[in-house]
Amino acid sequence: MKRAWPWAALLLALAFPFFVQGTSFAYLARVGGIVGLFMLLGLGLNFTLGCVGLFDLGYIAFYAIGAYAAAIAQRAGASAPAAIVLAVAAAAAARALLGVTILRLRGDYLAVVTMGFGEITRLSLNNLDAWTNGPKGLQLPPWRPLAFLSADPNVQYDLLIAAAVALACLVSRRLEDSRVGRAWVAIREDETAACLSGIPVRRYELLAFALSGAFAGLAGALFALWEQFVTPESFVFWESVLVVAIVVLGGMGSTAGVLLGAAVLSGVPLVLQATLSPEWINDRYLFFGLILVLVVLFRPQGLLPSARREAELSS
Amino acid sequence: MSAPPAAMLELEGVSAAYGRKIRALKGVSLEAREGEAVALIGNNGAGKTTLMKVVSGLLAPEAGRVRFRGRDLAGLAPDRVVGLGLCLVPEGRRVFPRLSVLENLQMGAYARPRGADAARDLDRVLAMFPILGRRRSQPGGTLSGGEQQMLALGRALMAAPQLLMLDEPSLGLAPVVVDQIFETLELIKRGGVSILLVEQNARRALKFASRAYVLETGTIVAQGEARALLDDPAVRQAYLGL
Repeated sequence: MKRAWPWAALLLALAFPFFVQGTSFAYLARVGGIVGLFMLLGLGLNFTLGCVGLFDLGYIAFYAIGAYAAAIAQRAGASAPAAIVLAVAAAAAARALLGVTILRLRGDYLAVVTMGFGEITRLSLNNLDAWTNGPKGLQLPPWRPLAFLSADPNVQYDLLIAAAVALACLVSRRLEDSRVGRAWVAIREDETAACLSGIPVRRYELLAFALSGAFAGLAGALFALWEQFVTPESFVFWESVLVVAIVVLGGMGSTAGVLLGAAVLSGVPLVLQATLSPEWINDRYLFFGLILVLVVLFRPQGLLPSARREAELSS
Repeated sequence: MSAPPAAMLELEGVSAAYGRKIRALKGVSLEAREGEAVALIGNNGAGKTTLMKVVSGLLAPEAGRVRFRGRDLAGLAPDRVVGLGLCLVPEGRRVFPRLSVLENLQMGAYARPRGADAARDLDRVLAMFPILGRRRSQPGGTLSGGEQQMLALGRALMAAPQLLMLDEPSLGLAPVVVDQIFETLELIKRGGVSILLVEQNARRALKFASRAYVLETGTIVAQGEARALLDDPAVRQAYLGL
């Protein structure tokens, strides 16, 4: 029975855009796609923040690198699938490279440096006019991968992103229950004891970094192809904070928790934006804040924590 | 006369420091031979733990050499040192608190190729510490101090070490549990594993080891047969409280 849940959720995610298209709820297909992108980001950050326990406030930079890599590649004439692969590789490589240079740092220092990296990336995109066209952004040629299923591009990308999230979940779950996953937990619990047990700590940390970069790159590429437009404005500090909140409130180290966290934290403001009467729209983050406070009060371990994390926080 | 057993671990003029100012080891030389149990005794702050850190690769020495079975360990990461068969049971035990007892033990075998050997060693460790078998699915952090020391010891044995280093294994344990730990160390020694033991409980350590070194503010001030040191008036006064 437990095994049936993920399949049911996937089926629902794949079916719902067809029900809403053409109705007054058509915006939900777009919301679904955006929530899916944040699920990818949450699952990616979960490798470093949730599994290994490395705090990071600049994760959105790799989403940006993925988006811009895909945009530049596609404009240079690469096919969209090739652009996606390139974006994934670029973001993974960039994050692994950052990892090599900053993994000596821990805690607050790591948070400060990653936050700096996030800002440097955004400012670079803003100023490297020759490559990125600066604040004016880059236009992409349209790519309609699933035109045979629906005429609505939002529905197409919704389906594509749902498939990507399913793949990401599969990878995450497999790793959690593997030798690598247990090594990550050991590193999080006691890095010194982990290396004295013969775990190549640095290598496993870099693996987590590269994987989380790859997930962000995938999300960024899908975002760029969907929007057909990228600008530095999409990759502000707030977005990094949002992804951290998704992982922490969803439940660190838990795949299902991260999915739920993404649905609540990125989905609710969008739904509120579409449904609230105009005089309330600007107050929608009030509701967002209320959710955060309630979760912290009643579920400090996260909405759906992993069994191990629950044990950590209750003792 | 047969040739003396080959040196397993050799330290030659090892110095180490934390930052610029705090020099914890000043030119320490010592060796542990094959199948031998060597004790390193000394007061708080003498540099015992620093020495363990240098040998296990956690801290790079400023000067001097560390050789294990003839191989220079300079620049090797701790996990590589473990892979060579040199294993440290760190001070304070440091079991993984949220991993189960069984997972803790499996972590110990991480540097080894998976296979029948590790499974056999797991059975051996569980036979040596039956309590760990009974608590195999319990989180490591819920064990008592003595049980955690057994788990830390078992975890190190899972790496199939040729030389086992122990940093203060008796720390904070009831005397009856200390007895048990030393009985187990005796078994491990008889199994052919060399042991380098750091202890504040000097009497215990000197009774267990065949040779010993006395470390004082980063320098070796005495060395020799453990039995002889046990009778040495200076050692008796400084470390045995007699």
